[in-house]
Amino acid sequence: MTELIEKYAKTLPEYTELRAQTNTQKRVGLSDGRLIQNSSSEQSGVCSRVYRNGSYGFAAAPSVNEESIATVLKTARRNAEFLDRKQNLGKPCYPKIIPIRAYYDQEKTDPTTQKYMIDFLSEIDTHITEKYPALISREIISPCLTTEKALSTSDGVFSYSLVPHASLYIILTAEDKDGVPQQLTANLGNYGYFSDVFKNPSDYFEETARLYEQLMQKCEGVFADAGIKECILHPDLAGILAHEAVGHTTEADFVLSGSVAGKYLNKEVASPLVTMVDFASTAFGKQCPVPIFIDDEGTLAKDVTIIENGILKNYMHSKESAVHFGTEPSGNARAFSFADEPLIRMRNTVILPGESKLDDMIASIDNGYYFVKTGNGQADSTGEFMFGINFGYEIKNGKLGKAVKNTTISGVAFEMLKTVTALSDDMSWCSTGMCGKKQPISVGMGGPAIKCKVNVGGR
Amino acid sequence: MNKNEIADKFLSAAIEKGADKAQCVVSHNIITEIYYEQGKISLLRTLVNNTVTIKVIKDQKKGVVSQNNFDTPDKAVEEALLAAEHAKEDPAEDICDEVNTKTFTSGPLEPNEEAMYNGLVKFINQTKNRFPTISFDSISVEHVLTSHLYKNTNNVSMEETRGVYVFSPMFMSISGEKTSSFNSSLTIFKDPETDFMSLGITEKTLEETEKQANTKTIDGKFKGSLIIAPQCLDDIISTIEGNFLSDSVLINNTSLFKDKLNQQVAAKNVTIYSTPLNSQLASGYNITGDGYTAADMPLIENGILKNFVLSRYGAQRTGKARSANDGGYYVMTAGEKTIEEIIKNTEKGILLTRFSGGEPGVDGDITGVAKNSFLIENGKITDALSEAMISANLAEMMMNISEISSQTFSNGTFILPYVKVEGVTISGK
Repeated sequence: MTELIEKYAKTLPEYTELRAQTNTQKRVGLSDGRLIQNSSSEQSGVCSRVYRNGSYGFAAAPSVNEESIATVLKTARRNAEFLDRKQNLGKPCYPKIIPIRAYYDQEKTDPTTQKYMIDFLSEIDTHITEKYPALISREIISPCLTTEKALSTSDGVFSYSLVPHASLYIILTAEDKDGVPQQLTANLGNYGYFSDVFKNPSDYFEETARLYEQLMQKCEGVFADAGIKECILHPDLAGILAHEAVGHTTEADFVLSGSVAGKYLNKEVASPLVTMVDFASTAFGKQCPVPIFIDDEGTLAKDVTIIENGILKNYMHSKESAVHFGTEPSGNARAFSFADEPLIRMRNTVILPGESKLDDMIASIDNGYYFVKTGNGQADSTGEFMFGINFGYEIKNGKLGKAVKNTTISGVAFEMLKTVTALSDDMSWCSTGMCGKKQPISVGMGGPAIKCKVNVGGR
Repeated sequence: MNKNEIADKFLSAAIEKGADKAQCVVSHNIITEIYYEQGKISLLRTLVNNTVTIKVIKDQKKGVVSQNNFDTPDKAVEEALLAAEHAKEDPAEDICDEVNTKTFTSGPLEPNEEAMYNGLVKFINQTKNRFPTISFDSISVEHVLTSHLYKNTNNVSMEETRGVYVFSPMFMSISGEKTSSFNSSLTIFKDPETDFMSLGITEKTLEETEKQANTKTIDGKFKGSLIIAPQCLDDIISTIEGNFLSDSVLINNTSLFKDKLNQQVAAKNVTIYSTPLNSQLASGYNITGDGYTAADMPLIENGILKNFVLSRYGAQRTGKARSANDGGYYVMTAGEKTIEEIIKNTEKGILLTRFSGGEPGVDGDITGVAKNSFLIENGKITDALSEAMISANLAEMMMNISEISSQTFSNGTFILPYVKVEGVTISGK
């Protein structure tokens, strides 16, 4: 793949990207001990994007060889010409950049066999069966994705990257006293091949025990009371808050479409306690869960400080949006598969930790909630967001009370962030995130526990 | 590309290498897309992709490999057999045994790029003139050609080729400093010369969104009526199918409807069909994912649950009947009152056109935000809403449907009316 693509780096005309990509996926799933998923897939191909006077042409084809490369180069050019002829936008080409040649890879061969994954999941399943007979159902699912890319651009950029990622979901279901099923999921995962990330099944027994305990509490749980409440969001929720509620509104393409963040640049949008960064590849001295070294336009990826001490400082950019805003591209243009064009996407979006202790934060609330687990989340142009909450606790007089059943929290991001009065001094990463903006893509997100006010859905 | 020859190569390799049974699905897809964003038509995209998926069964153990390389059948089969070797024995594993050789072809098989481009430009200009506060996040016009062949070692050979156009604008309304929530409409259709503004609920959604830049919040909490718009109802029925009727929840024994076949699960006025063969819909399918001929079927008739949505494997695992199709493509029988009359009869509630909520748990509880929605008071639509939350239970909602509109709407994948549900908890700030 690399040799074939690299040789085009110096010969591509006008503004052209040429990318070869292979997405390799493995998936094993057990449902009540039965193997319901046991598959692998490989999607490989080549694509090209050509920019002409403000219009893009894009083409993708399966297989990576001279013939398919010639086809996509020709079709992408023809598509750009079609739109240019129709529109005649007359926009200049992007500023030239210094050619670079960059390799970001580790061992190419995945050492994980399907047998290793099946045995690993089976051992956890056996442990659950023996230890927790009260469950009515258990599922253990592991999807793994390895993305290998080689990119050449007409700027003389050549890059190669190989990013493996492994995930493990443990889903437990029990019935409450009324016979209604209640469910909780543990989401685990990290950068690396499955057998590198998940070494011993017994390492996850403690996590399973915690999940079971929470599920039993949920079965005895109560419905949340609706309305604006003072809450603590567990660190696992801070990440989804950073990504969904704030991050999307500050993607430059959304800003150009009318996102509410468009009118807030260099204005106060959050409590001074809040600083939020979209890290490219390294944070806090360690590699991020989804490291992006160079994006799919050939821009070296750099960190973007979105909010600094409560002030909205930057948007995330592609080459095109950077020209519009008169700034530098930030390396946020990412594509999921060979068949996808790069879009402005987040990488590893984090609210930075503060100085408070979680116990003190809980103790400071008379009547509210501590929300611990989230399912999905959505946000829109207004900054209004919602997250599904799968597990949490009441807080009564500074102490944790009964567990709460499924609910949803919502708010308007830039209003809600102004209600933040404490951030814990620790943080956690969510490494299993998938964002669904036109194309699915892996993202990292994280943050500390947050004390704030949100709107709680309830009965 | 000869899909039959490719499938034969993979199936022969499977048998030669020791599989007891095998099935192969060969797909060939071409997508042509014109994309509008950031104030201009920005991209013309041509995507060609092929996929072959081989499933082998040996000693009742399954292995599956999928790839878009047709040249390595031996390698793919070896990987699938290796996966099967390490799998667990599952008596429910099998392949389609309904011996058939059928070919289905429908819709426009070639893209008309000129018509797609001209239709898009016309739509943008119409919107500027008629709905001046509308700002587009993106507009996608696609021609999608999908062609797939299902073949197995039981001599089943089923092929379907379908061409459709897909129109999906995403937009908001900007009025001074005020911005509405994102809204969108998706329509699947066959004739690219159609006026895009007239497709599905596009015009209606633009009109409603113009009224949503200025919103009101609800004070406190109340139990009220929820009038659910067709596009939102489609999502809800799909969630009900996934949460209560499908393979995974029935196999796991977590469905609230697991023992409800031929029992009442909805109000008596509710009749819903799954109609993938419906000629009034631009989209659909003739072949199930596991190789059987699909047929339309009732899901709920007069409130009575008539069918689950079970694959061959799900049926085998649960001891229930395999369903006639894979679900989707819903048609709901219309009621007698117009939507205007239904609103007039509503004391207090919400007209829900989009729902943004947490994925409901297996208990059916849902909570979420009423997006792009309106408050109804004393029989009239009063204000567009923001930060309004809804809390309900899907199973209870089905039982509490009080009225169904006489008008139905279609986007090429459904034909659905408005429905009114009573007793939903609605809360604001």
